This record gives sequence, C-alpha cells and structure tokens, in this order.
Amino acid sequence: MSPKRPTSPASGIVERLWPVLVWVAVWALAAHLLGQPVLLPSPLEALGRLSELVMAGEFWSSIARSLGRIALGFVLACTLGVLLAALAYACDSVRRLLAPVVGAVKAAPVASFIILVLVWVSSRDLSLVISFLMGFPIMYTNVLEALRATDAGMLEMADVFRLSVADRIRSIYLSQALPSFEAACSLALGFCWKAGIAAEVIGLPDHTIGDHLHDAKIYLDTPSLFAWTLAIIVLSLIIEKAVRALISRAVAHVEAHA
Amino acid sequence: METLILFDSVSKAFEGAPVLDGFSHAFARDTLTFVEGPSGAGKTTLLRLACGLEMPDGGSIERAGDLRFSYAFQEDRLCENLSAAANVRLVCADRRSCRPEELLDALGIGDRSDIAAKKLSGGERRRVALARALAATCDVLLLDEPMTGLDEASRDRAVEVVRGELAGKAVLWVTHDTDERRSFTGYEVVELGKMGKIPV
Repeated sequence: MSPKRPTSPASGIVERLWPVLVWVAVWALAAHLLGQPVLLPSPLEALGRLSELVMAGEFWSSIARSLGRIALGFVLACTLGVLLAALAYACDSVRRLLAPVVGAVKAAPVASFIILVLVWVSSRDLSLVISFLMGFPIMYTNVLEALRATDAGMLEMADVFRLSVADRIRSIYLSQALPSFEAACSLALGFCWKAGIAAEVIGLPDHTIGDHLHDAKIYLDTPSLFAWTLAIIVLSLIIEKAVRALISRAVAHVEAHA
Repeated sequence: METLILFDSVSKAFEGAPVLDGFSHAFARDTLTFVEGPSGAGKTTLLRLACGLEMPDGGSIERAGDLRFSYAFQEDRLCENLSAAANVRLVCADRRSCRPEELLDALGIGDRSDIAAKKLSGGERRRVALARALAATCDVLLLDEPMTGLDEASRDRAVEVVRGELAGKAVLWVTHDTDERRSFTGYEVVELGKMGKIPV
C-alpha cells in the first residue's frame, strides 16, 4: 500500500467542491428539462433572487430576528444540558429523575411541541423554546454519556493526588468530554436551526425567516423559497464553523491555564 | 522508625483467584522497599491496597493518620491535552513555587516541557509520570515499574533523581529489574508470590 500523500489547501478545496458542483449541475439540468420555474427554479434563478434579497434591509433584519432567538435557545440548551448532565453524573437520583423527561422530549415529534408550545407562549418566542427543546436532550445525553465514560484510571489518579474539583474538571473531564461536547454542539445546532425555522413557518412571527418561507409558499414564489433555503444552509455552515472555533479557543484557553 | 502503613494478614482475591494471602508488613517513614515477584503476584495490588484504591478481603491495613500519597502508576495516566510541565504542576501543593521544568530537566526531558502529553514518546511519558509522582508532597511514594521503557542512560539518570527524593517518605517501588536496586543501600525487599518477605 502506498503512503498517503499530504494534500495542498487548493486540492483540498477542489476535493470538497467537486461533489457540490456535480449536484448543482444535476439541479440545473433538472430545472432545464422541467422548464417550469414555479416547480423547480434553476440555480441561477435562485441565486439571482438571493442577490436581490441580500440587497434589502428586510433580509438581514429577518435573519437577525430568527438567528437571535434560535441562538438563544441553543445557548440555553447547551448551558442547561451541560449543567444538568454534570449534576446527573454526580447524583444518580437526578439522572433517574430526568430520564423520562429527556426520553419523552427526544421521542415526541417536533410538530407536536410546536403546536403545544404555541398554546403557552407567543409566536414571537416559539422558535426560542423549540430550538431549546430540540437541543437540550442532545447536549444532555451526549455530555452525560461522555462523563460516564470517563477513564476510571484518571479518576483514581485524581483521588490519589487529591486534585480539587476545578482541577478535575479542567484536566480530566474537559478533555474526556470535549469530543462528545463538540459533536453534540454540531448536531444540536443543526437541529435547533432547522426546528426553529420550522416553528417559525407554523407560528408565523412577523419578519422572520419562517415568515418569508411561508409567504414564498403562499405566493408560489419558488425562486424566493430556494433563495431563503440557500441562505439558511449557508448560515448554518457559517454558524457551525464559528461555534467550533469558539469551543476550540475556549478549551485552549482553559487548558493553558490548568 | 515511624510506621506509616501496617499490613496485618491481608488477603485479596480477584474473581476468586487469591493474589495476596495473609500478607503482613510494616512500611515506615524513611525506608525504601522494593516489591518484587512474577507477573500476577500482586505487586500492583499491594500498592493499590496501601493507598486505599483497593480494600482488603481479609486482615487489616492501618495507616498513621491522614497520609498523603503520590503514585507513579504502571500506566502513565497523564492528562493528554496538558503539557508535560502542566501535568507535573497539577499535583504541586504550591503552584507558584512549583518548578516542574527543573524536575523534567533532571530527568532529561526539559526541552519537552511545553509539549502536550499526547505528543510525547513512551519513554518521555514515563518520565513525566515519574516527575509528577516526585513533584507531589507526600508521606508515601508508590512507584510501579517507573523505569519501564527507559534506555539505560535515562534509567540511571532517573534513579539518581529518585534517590534525591526519598527523604522523609516511605517508598514502595515495584520492579522486575534487580539492577534498579543496585545503586541503593539499606533497603528492604518484599518478594511476592512466595507469600513472605526477605529482608536484605
């Protein structure tokens, strides 16, 4: 077997880009063969509509509104998920108490929650609550499992050397739980983002991404629907990269001060 | 001499297989005890019993008050994302006065102080684990095959460093290599697997 050669940054980009270009070409061909932009606009029509949208202030303010609430739901899910996972790890009764609730939230369809939550809170805050409900079980479960899988040998080491709780967290739990935490963040972020926008499409809070998607459906403005969807995908990728970078920097900072 | 740990007819078995049977010995301050014996004779178990990581099935283990232990485990048990120096500093009683670089330098890996443990070689990791054990303030120092994986020069150097850290402690040193005790005098040997001890 020949050794794997290191790839240059340029060839790395090409490797990632060509499958995307193939699927865009398939999309363009399908749109051309169908010839009905109402059913399937071409990539150029969708991009054209997107470029019109980004020039308007309403596009950015809608994104800011949706993103702000969904991000808040995600942050709450992360914070409460990690705190309760730590508590459940330390106290088995807490884990047993939370198990049915987390199980129910995981198993229930998101549409049921959206309708139920609409009864309790205003449509304006719906995406916040829904993104929290989607993100929380993922964060809680993954972090708890990672904590429970902590290397027993390292915990013995901490006991023998009488490490403080802060040192145990920084030097053992952080590095043990970090891969799961990062994976959970990535997964939860995707769920929060998608479920949050789905909640907006049903709850229709004014001047949000979901509101615009709903309008595009009502007026059969398919190019706008595709343009908003493209914007959602691009935003999702950017946010995921940003969150991963933020976590890496935070962890490097904590470990540097261990 | 002040006895720190007293094993009295201690028995320990794992899944029905006896590892220690009626083991008795007093480990005192300012003594160095080499623990020897074939694999599976209970050398590591003895160290784990000494510091309370295992409980005896029979007999008793008495400790003189709230003893502080330090331990170079058979496996390195390093915090992988922390640097070599940070791993050592972690166990220092006073972090501000702690000088892990000096200890690592004495062990021949001073230039690797800032490297994360996960990027160190097996021999370097072993020395970081040893440095960590030596950096901790303790009454009882437990060394479980601390020289495994070291070349002769590194081992000789490490032995000299350990020699300088023996004072005021009871040291239990598990080894397969009788060469490691040649440069010491006035030590004891506990030979396991023969259910007894041979004072030297």
